[in-house]
Amino acid sequence: MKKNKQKTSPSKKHCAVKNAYVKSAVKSAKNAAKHLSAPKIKNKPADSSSIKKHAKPACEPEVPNKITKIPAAGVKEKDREKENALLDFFKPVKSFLRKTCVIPHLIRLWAIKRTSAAKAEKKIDAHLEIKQRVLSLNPVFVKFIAFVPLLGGATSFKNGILLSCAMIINVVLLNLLLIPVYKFIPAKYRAAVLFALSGIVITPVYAAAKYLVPSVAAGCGIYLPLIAVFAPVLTERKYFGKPRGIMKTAFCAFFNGIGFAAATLLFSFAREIITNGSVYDRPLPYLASIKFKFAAYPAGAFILLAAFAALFRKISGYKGDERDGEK
Amino acid sequence: MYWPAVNGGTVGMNTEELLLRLFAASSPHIRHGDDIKITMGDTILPLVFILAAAVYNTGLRALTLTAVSVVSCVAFEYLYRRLLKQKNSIGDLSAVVTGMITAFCMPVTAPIWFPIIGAFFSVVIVKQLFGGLGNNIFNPAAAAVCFLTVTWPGVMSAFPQATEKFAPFITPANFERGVPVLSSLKNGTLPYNRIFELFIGYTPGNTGTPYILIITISALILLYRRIISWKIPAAFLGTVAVFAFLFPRCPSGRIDSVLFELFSGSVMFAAVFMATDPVTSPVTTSGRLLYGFFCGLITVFIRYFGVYPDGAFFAVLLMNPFVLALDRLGWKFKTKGGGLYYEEE
Amino acid sequence: MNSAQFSSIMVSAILVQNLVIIYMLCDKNLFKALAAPSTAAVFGCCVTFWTTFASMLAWLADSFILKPYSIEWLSPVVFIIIIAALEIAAEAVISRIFPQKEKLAHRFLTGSAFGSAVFGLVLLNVEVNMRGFFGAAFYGLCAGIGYLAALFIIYSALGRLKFSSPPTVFKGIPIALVTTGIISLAFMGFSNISISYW
Repeated sequence: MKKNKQKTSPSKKHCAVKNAYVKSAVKSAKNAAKHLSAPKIKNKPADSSSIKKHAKPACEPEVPNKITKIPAAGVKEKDREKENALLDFFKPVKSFLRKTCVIPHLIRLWAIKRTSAAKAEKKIDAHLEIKQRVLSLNPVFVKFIAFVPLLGGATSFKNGILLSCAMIINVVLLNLLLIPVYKFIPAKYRAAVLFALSGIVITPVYAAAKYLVPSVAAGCGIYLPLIAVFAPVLTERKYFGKPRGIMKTAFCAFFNGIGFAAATLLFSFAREIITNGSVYDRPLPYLASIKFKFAAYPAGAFILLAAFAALFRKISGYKGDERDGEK
Repeated sequence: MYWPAVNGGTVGMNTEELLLRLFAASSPHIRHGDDIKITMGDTILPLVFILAAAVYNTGLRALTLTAVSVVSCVAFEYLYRRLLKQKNSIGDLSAVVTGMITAFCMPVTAPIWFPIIGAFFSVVIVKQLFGGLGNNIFNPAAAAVCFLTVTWPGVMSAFPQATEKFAPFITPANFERGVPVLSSLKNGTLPYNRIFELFIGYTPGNTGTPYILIITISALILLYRRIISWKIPAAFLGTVAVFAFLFPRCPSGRIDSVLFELFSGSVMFAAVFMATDPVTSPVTTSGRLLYGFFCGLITVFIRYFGVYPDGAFFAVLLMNPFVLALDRLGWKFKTKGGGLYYEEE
Repeated sequence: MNSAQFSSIMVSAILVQNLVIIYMLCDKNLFKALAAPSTAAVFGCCVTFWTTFASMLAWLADSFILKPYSIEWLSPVVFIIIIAALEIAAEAVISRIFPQKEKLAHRFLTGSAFGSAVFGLVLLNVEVNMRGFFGAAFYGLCAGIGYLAALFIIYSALGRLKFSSPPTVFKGIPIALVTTGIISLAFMGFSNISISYW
């Protein structure tokens, strides 16, 4: 069978097909001619229906192109004509107004701009996720990745301000330093190099703090250099090789630092009020007599941090994790 | 798994932990089996005896302090449960016991807001935050007393003279400070009080802890009613006695040193009322003995080398986290011989 | 250095100046390591290793480089570079000896070395410089042992937490922080200990 098929050449096949088509065309033409000139059969309705299926002339369309208007109840033809005439009159007026009148045009443009600006803002927000970095995914109170300097160093508002500034400067500079270098570090040594770079960045900050505000730096103790341990944790590598990467990285790092700063300032503010009844070393009028030295001790720091974490979780609507914790 | 699941059921537990849960082989372990109220009520009776002795010795201020402490404990527990829409639990009288014990561990001359702050810390942070009675890791009364000692050491170590009586509603301002026996022992001098005076509580001390005779009678009552076990106080006090015998601090001899160390400060009170708390103490025999031993060891260590005169409360609070580990060790000792059973008394 | 000084160093490193409980150098790696006793033990041993050797090298650097030329403000960088170099060297050694466990070793070693405990201890050790070389090394070793002891205490307490039911907003790390806070309250009984009898 296969051999027979292979032997027939394509041209022969084509001829055979053509012949078959011609034959079938001739047959159908003959049939059509027969049916068109068929006599009217009165007593056989079944046959007439089958004949009618085939006897459709080609010129008459089966479905009309325009949808016929269903006339409304009670509206006469004359009124309908009047309506159409009015609408037709206003068309050129509308186009004239659109071209000449500026105020609605301006209003339209303003509305468009506003919606597109809102969309652009949402885009920026989505890119930088400011709210997330500060509130719902706060590195200190929600993610618990950088809370050690808070516990030990943020005993008063001044210390808190110093720690926040140091962290913001450290994180931004570290991220900017990392952009050209990150690709060339093998994966094994990334943590070590990050740590070393963070140390290099904290040196001028630490020296400046010791020179400018020595009492506050001494009050922070070992927790000011410990910022170098937690700055690498707040780095993000999302925009490192991308266009406009430097600006976006700087913004990301800045807002991560702002998240830490917000937490530190809040924590140190509360801690100083509870411990000393003062803010920035100025005693408050009624609270100065109520002092709980406990908040300055490690135990108080742990419990206060837990309280703030619970507060932040409550604000952001925490429903509980499957594993009852965070990875 | 990165984090041990809280109330996560039995997922990921090995046989040992499953058995621990099934046989209720670790704290909390309720002795009477039907009601916590009976246990707590039975504990309140000896405490009322101690309160009576305190009022007889130091005046009605002891009653005021105790009343403020109890009312604030109950109020904080009720408010916490109400705010968090949980079942009201003040009916089990555990807050009353906590309040009374906290009030007995501070001097009579403490200001009136002292027990309120102690009540807040013990009831809200140490007990209710972990889920209420039975769920707490730390003894609430011990934690409250440690908290007050650390935050206001001056108030907690200012003991009045034994003879002075105080009016109920006036905060004592200028009172003569007495020298408690523990200070004398720390300095290496002979104490001012004799042992008989220590026994009846005629010595500068806290509100309820110097009355050794009444505490001994209370211990016998509680043992008879099967509320506490004799192992923990025996191990605790035995360790303190042994170390006092081996390293005497009192110049008048070893036996005197033993008696002075045992009957001064709050060691007897802590051993009988705090270390035997059923929720925060082990259940197995060896667990209990080890718990008492280490409590005594830490008490002696803090007394001899530390700043605070009495380390009994810190010792109890320090040993609380180890309860589960001690129980597991106790189970290992028990099951070496054969089948599983849990401690009957 | 006689035995009294060594014992006082040991007591102060483990009880009075405990890294986790008094100096609060507990980051998220610690709570992650507490999930299982084996990981906690390995983590604690790693930290002990780093604290001992880093404090030795840091004391040397401090005595011979930083103090003579009065450049103490460079101390954070110098210590960080020491710790990072130690970590790279240790990881190279371990990947030579146990090539199959390289990833696991990397996680443990970086997690323990670049946490706050080692760096914080090195800074603390150098503040009090009158201990001498062996004193500093012994202090580092005892601080590591104190870290292990703190891990053990917190692990036991958190094991008991399985049977507790805190409110939903406190589940997980907040209640662990409260527990650690109350443990630190208990440790404050050891503050200002002076061993003068022995």
